[in-house]
Amino acid sequence: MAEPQKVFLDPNVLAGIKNLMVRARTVVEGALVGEHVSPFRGGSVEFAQHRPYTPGDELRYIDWRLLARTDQLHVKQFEVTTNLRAYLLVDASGSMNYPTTGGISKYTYATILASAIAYILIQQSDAVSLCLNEKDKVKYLPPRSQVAYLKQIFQLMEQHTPSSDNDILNLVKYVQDRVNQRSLIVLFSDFFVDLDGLNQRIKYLRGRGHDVMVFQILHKDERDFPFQRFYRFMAMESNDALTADGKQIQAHYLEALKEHQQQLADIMRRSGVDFSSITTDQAPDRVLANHLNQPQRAKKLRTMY
Amino acid sequence: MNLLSTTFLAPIAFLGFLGIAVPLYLHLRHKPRATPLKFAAFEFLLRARRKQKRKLRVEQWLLMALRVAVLALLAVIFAQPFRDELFQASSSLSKRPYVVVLDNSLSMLAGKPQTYFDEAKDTLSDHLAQRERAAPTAVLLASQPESPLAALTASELAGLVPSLKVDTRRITLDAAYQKALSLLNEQGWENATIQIFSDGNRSAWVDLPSAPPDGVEVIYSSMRAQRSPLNNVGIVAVTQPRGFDRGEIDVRLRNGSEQGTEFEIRVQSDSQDLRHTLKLDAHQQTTHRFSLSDPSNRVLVQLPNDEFNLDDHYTFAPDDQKSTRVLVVDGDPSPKRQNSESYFFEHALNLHQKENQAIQVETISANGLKNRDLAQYDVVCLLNVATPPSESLNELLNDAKGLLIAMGDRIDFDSWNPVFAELGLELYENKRFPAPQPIDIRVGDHPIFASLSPADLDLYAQGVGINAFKLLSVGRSSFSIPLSLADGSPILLASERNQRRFVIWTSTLDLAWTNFALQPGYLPIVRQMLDYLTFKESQTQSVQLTVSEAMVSGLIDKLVLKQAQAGFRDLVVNGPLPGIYSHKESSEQHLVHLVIDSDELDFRPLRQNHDEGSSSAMEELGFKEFARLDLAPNLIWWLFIIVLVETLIAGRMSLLWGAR
Repeated sequence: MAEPQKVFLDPNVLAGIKNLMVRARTVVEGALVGEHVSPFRGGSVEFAQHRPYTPGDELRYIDWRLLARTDQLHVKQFEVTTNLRAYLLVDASGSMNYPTTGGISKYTYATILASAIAYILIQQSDAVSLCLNEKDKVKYLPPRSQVAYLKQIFQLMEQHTPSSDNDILNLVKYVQDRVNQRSLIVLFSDFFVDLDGLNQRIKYLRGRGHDVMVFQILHKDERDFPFQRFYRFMAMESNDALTADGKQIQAHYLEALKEHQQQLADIMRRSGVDFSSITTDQAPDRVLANHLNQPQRAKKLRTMY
Repeated sequence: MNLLSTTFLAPIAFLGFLGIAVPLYLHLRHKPRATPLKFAAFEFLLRARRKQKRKLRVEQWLLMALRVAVLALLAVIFAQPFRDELFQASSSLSKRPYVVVLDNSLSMLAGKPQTYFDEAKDTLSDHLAQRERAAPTAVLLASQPESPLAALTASELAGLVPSLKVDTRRITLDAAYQKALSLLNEQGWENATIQIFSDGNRSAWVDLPSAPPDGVEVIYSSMRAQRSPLNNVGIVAVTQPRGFDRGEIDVRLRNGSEQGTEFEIRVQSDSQDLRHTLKLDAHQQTTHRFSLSDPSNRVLVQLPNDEFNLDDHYTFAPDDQKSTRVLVVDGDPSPKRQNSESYFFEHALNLHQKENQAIQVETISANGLKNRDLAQYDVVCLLNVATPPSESLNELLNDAKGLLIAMGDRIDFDSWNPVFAELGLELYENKRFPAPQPIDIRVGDHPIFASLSPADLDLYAQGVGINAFKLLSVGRSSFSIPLSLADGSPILLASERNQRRFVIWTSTLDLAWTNFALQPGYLPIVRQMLDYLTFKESQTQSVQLTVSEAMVSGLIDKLVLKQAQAGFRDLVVNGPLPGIYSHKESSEQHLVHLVIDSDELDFRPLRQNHDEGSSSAMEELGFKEFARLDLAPNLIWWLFIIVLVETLIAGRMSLLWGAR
């Protein structure tokens, strides 16, 4: 069983798989094979009391240990049974459409990760919700736990084209106004946003007791800035343009990016958020496995559910 | 075309400056070709650009400036610039006989920071140092053309050059140049070079020099020719006008500059500090009068420092002028002041009605004469007094230094004739004319007219019309008639007897019989009459002389310097210093003011016509003054350097920007 762990999925190959359901399953299988601890514990049950056995009770609820001690039949009663609610917030702003030509876009990569997480959760009977931002509004699928619901989620993500200038902060705002009970909130974005605003939103979510997972998805061009010629750079969320020599501006760009990344990581660390900054050339199953099986995540899950 | 002493043979090439528009246009409008690229992390690009932009811009502007400079330089090179520099020395100077004429007049001390004289000495030292030891050499100082330094070697002469001094006398180059030519003949030096170091002023020559003989090269080195136009306003002299306010001084100024200038003149006495702002056109002279309420022992006149400081300070010692006391007896007073007989006369004497006038006038009526002590007055003036005051008549004729009698219709023949008889005169008759009669000057050099030039006197007599007068027969009296009518009838009579002087004006001094009081000559002639009556010409007063005049007259040997003018105090010069002198042994108390000759302050240049390639005034005489220096080769080096720098910067930017 150790073999499949080493064979990571090439994102470009994965992007070639048309059906998101198949993609998600492929990723999840790759991610969860051989793992000892399941990352989520859906169907949360809590022991309430014992009561004497009466005929007709399910035998599996008989407390055999108590029978051994007391020689009397008792069955276990459970107080509540709740499912996890997970909200997947996928940033569909214009900047996520990079690169527009050649290679897997940041948005496509985000949908792969989101669909994989949705697949896992629904398989565990947890409810999953999806939020996408459009130009002036938010596309929202409320939390459902039916397996058939996965199809709707995938369809929405597949049909959507990122183009709006409505950033992830608006999505978070939208969701935080609608979620009442403690939930899992998963963010997928490049986080080229105002970090002070993001900090406030994340703190708010954490303050309300939500479990927050953050995936920052970058393209390797953004990480390395490999442009060596004279370019007319055009913004993807506005009509701004800038003509510059890539070689000359590279050092200053990387310096500005590094500063941003450090601030972003600081915000996430201080808020106790599981944060992964990844690039689209990384294998999504490995990314997911690494993220879901972090020791902190397991500990947090045990605390929460 | 001449620009900052650089001349261009083909100024039309400056049209090439229009080409500067090309790099300017390219810089302002050109945008490099760039590949369009949609990029998500645009915000970081903006931040990066903010940091990187300045450096890129500086490089681009520098490139543009260099390209503009290249085009501008090309235009200038095609315009063929050249400069006429002073002709320094022939290439064969080391051996040729060499005679130097060095102008050591005071005007050579002009120029800042280095004076013309020091610059000339430095150049001369350089030339002497280049000469072979045995090469025949002579140096002639313009102040001592008769004793040239000829028996010394070039190196010995070079050792003497630093000790050469300017001379305070008026010095011209004429004699020294002639001496240089004759020296060549005396010594039998052929193929010689004469080099004249001059300030370049026209006043350095009395007459323009003659052309040099064949075989003699004359180099004329004008020290001012290579500098910007000289800026100088100087004090020529300070004098004290006679017969006006006691505290008045006249400052004569000269603008030696070639352009008009505005400057502040400051006059300081013990108790006053006056500042006037004046304007003088180029080479203009003017006299500016200052009135000091309390003339002190010394008056300091100052001008702002300029390129010739020796004439910017002048210390003046005013004479202690004694007031002249004048008693005016008005024989025809009137309640209306201007109708009084004495009105115009009194105003002519005391023009400003001030206390400290040099002339103190007291006006009384004829009755007031009775109890007067006439001995205290220098001059008594009887204007249209009906009868001579019999009681004080003797006093009038014996005590007062001067007596002026003016006629009028009140004069009583019978009363006056006994008095006139004593003077040898007789009142003859009243004369009236239908039309005013002009006056003639009979004795133009009469002491009354001393200090009035004949031209001024003509001007003053012009327009005076006499309607009536009293005819006086002069007979055998000692009276002379300086002014008369055309028929010889005396209008002004003057005489001296027993150290007393008499003046008789046979018409009126008001407007009753004549328009004299309204004519421009009234005030000066009345003042002159008064000076005559008070023996002004014999009063001692300080004298003003130029240094040369004092030396020529031999007076300098009898003088002792009391105070040198400020500019000369620390100056090492030959000749007497301009300043205030007193007589060594003579009992004369008056001071002597030695001044610089005003020609030395005339900084008018010898007109140079060498613009547009023509020769200068001295070059037209066959002298070598300028050497043409072609500037284009130097500019080509600059062009090469700029193109090199431009290429390096452009190359570096190209490397940094990467392939296009």
